Amino acid sequence: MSEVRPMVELRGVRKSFDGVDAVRGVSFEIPAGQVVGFIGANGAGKTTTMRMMATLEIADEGEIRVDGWDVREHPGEVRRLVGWMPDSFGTYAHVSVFDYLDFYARACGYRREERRRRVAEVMEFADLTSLADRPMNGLSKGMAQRLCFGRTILHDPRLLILDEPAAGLDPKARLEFKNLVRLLKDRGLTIFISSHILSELGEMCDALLFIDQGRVVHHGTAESLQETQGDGACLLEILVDGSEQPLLQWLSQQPGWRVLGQSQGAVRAEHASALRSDLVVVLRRMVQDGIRVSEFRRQERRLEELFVDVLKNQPREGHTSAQGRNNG
Amino acid sequence: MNTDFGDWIGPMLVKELRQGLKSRAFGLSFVLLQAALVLLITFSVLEYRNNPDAFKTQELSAYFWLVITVMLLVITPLRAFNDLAGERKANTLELLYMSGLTSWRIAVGKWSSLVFQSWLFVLALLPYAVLRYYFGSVQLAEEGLALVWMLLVSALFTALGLAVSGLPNAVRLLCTGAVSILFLPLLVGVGSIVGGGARIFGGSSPFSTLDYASGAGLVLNVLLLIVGALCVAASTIAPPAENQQGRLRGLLVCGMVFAAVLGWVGVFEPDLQFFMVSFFAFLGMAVAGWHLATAPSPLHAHLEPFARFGKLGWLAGSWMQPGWPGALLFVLGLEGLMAAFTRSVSLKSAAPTMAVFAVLGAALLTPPLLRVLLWRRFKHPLVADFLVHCLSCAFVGGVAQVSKAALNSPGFLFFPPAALWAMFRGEGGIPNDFKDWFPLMLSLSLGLCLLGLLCSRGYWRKIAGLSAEVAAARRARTASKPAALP
Repeated sequence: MSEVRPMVELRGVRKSFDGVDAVRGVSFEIPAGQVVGFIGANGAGKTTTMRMMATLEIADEGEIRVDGWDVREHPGEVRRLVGWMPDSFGTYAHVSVFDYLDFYARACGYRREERRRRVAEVMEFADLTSLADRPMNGLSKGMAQRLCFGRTILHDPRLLILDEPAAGLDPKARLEFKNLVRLLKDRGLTIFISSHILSELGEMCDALLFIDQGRVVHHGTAESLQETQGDGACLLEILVDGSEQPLLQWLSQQPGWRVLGQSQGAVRAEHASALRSDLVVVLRRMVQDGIRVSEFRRQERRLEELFVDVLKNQPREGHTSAQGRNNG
Repeated sequence: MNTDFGDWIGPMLVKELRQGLKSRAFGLSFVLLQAALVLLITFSVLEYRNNPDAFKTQELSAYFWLVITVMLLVITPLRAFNDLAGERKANTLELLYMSGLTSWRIAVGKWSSLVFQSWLFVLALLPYAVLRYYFGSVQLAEEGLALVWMLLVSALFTALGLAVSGLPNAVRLLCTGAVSILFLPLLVGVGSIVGGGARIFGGSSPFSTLDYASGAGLVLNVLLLIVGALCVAASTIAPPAENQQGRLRGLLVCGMVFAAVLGWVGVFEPDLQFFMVSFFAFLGMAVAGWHLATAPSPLHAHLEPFARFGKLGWLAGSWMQPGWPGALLFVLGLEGLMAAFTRSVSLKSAAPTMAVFAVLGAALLTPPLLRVLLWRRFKHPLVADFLVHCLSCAFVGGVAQVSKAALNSPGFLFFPPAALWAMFRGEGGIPNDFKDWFPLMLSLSLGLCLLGLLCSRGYWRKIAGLSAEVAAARRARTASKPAALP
């Protein structure tokens, strides 16, 4: 059986700026058609990695391939396959939304009717038709992001690299943006997306990639992250009838419990075992000991918490990593 | 069929023209210029009607040419001065690359847009130029020729402005300072030479007396310089996979060969031929000085264009590879070409020029080789090389006072390391006869080149390996092509 070639392959990629390492031996693969979330703190090496994938930086060491093409040796071919959306992009004075897309369509090689059709399609897709004659430097943040997104998909790329696309957008614009990504995913595009809004990434992405101090510290699905980071523990939300104090006292006397938070009649706690049979025993004992439990809910750990846990488990180094080019 | 004029010209030009013509600055200056010229012509007509004998057409012409000169030689190049830097600052260059546009197409698009806009201004002035004709004392043919020269020089200045605009901020500031200081002398000088200034301040342009053949040869050389300046502009913004350095070197060698051929076929006088060949060779040396300060980046993309010619192509293309090892071979090639050329001409100045040339080659190679041998991790190698030249200059001129002896031979003053070597020879001064120096300096150049090649042997091994890969890939592509039907 022939092996399916991944859309993106990184092998031992390193990059430093002025002697400070921004990316240190990053390796991963992204299969075609997947949406992968790229998560890391500021200065972790996200933007540098993405820029290298988009042919905009050259790695000091290692190899990056997009659909089999080496980004260093064949940047032209890679650029035809990649749609790059930076976290911030410059605008032109005296250029309308239509003119901007028309210019890029010309640059991508579209001619005459084909170009007009393609620009119209993209404007329709990114909901820009009503803004066609608006000067691009007078657009709101959300509109400008939609325009940049339109430009990114103009040449019908197979891989989208989106650097903080939802940064600075209001909730409505974020929702619209999420819908656009979903539509493109349905069309079979491979999407590599970095964001600080982790909950959104969890909903959108097939896999998550955590980067810290220039190294990949996790690559897998959100579910696998729940499993690996929990150490067999689980989160529980317990609601009681009346005061939560008896419950808190009970929990403090029992082994394997850690209280994470409390509010009026509710306690959020972590139990050492996530096994269903153990939880049944715990609940039974709680009731037998006179705790008036009204609800006993198992909770998934939030992505933010998992991210922080992953970072906590990493050995810290004496210096902070390079800022890279922008913020990643 | 629904045709679009924009499809016939580059996307960059379409965008820049749309942007430029919609800008308030263009619209305002266009309207103001028209208003000023209408007023000027109206006053002239009134003055002429009142007293036709006292009316001086030269005064009207002076205003007219002042406007054209300022527009073409000042405003248009100044508009280019910040163009690429602005694009870089606005973070828009990368998106242009991602769309498939090369740095060359970006530079040419920006330049042609500025030139088109200046032509539009000149076209708008033509009706007033024709009106002037009715006041008398206007030589239309001569003025037309002057206008063509002005347009050509304006295009060259604009290309130079664009080249400067892509350079680092510090260099751009230096250039801005130099242009500001030399602004008026430059404007008057160049304006007078090409024709416009002659009509503002009186006198005649030396270009108006050129014969057709020399004029045509000069035009072609100016065009080569424009392409060269655009190459520089493109290389300041080029991503690593683009070999703009090789393009520029190739162009300069073409300029040398072209000027030599024009001389041999009789278009250029021997003096002009020698001047033009030396001019391109010196430009080549300056470019080599810049490229010697750049790091090599062996990539498939740089070797692809030469792969089709096999080993011969690889050999021919090696001096066009970006980075200092390729520039080193380029210096060697330039010296070889100059040596061959000077042997073919019988001018008195040929041998000394060649000696100076050999000296320059040796001088250019020394600082980069010192860097390579002693400490490779300079953050700004060009600045380091420049400082070495400045230090040697200060040492020779200030400490050793060799420059006193060099006063008799001013050619050496431009190349301080030459005087330094003269001092090391222990002759107590620089001999007037440069010819005697030629073998020594040429051997020194060759020795330095050899040393440089030794230092870069790892790079050349990598280039040889990559070349073999490129050739193999090419063979594989050719083999997989379907056979042609009989």
